[in-house]
Amino acid sequence: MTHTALQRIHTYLGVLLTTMGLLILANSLSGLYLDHETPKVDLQFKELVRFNKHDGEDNYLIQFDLMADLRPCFNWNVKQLFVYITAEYEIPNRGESKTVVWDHIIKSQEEANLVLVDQRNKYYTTDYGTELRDQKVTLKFNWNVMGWNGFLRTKTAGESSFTLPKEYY
Amino acid sequence: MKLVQKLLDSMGMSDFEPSLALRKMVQIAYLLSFALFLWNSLRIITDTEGPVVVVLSGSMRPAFHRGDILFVKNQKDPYQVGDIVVFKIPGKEIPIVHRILTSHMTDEGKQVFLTKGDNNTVADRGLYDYKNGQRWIEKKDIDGKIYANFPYLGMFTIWISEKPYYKFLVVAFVVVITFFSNE
Repeated sequence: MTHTALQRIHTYLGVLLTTMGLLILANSLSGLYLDHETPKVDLQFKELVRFNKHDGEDNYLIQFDLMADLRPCFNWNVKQLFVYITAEYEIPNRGESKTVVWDHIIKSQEEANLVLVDQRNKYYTTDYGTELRDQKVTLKFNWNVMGWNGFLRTKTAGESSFTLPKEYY
Repeated sequence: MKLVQKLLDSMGMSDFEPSLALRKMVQIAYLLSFALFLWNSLRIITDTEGPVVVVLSGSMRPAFHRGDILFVKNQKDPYQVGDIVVFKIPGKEIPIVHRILTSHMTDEGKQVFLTKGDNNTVADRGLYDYKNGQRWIEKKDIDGKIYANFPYLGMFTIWISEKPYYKFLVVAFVVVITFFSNE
């Protein structure tokens, strides 16, 4: 049996694609094992700036402090960390509500040591209704590890609670 | 005639045998239906319409760029704030891949979401069906959640959809390769 050029190309492509496939798989899985860091996070609610009602929805504005050193979270497969602070609360007979107060994209290890003082909301924190008076709200710091390839992971560390007043500000 | 003979030789058919040609065509049909079987199995396993989607816009940059591929899977548990989900707006064909910004439970026990692209300054309310008063999306609008990504591989699909004659080129290439594989 003679080996024509086309047969060689066919075999070559087959081996190339299979090998690349295996390498890609190994690459993605390695990201899972490089993932054991517990960075130091300190999240602190500072002050309620505003609390009122608008268009049938309660809304509030807060200030918080954040110290989060996420530098150990970077490895060769990490493209960015999407960090976000959520405010969550539970309304009896209604259920859980959660919303992002502030978020940020960390693109490199150099930028990964976050220090925020008296930081205000980036997004409106409004309720689905007017249930927020005298309601306890918990702030949590989270980050989404986003790689050049492979599995996305979400982690959380650091929390701080406050209670909204019984009357609007 | 010599050229045709050479062509047949390189395909492993020294004389033109109809039964051999038929076997080769069955081989191709098998290849294509196997690809279809794999795709639909993935759809069942991940419980989505599209277990792998291609990023079409830059609204999730710098994490995802046009041409990246994303792996999608549906889940029975409720989606969470921070999840990147694939969803459709009623009346619009193209699915959107954005992050969940807000989640509330309504008085009727339904979970509603507000989404936003990482690279956008505002949330997606303007994209929803505002003519019909849609202010939130629900689980039924969500096809699945992104759990993995891979760069560049989707450019191939984008090229094909933008220049349809490439599709014919690709199929012709597969056919030619199979005919010349001599197995």
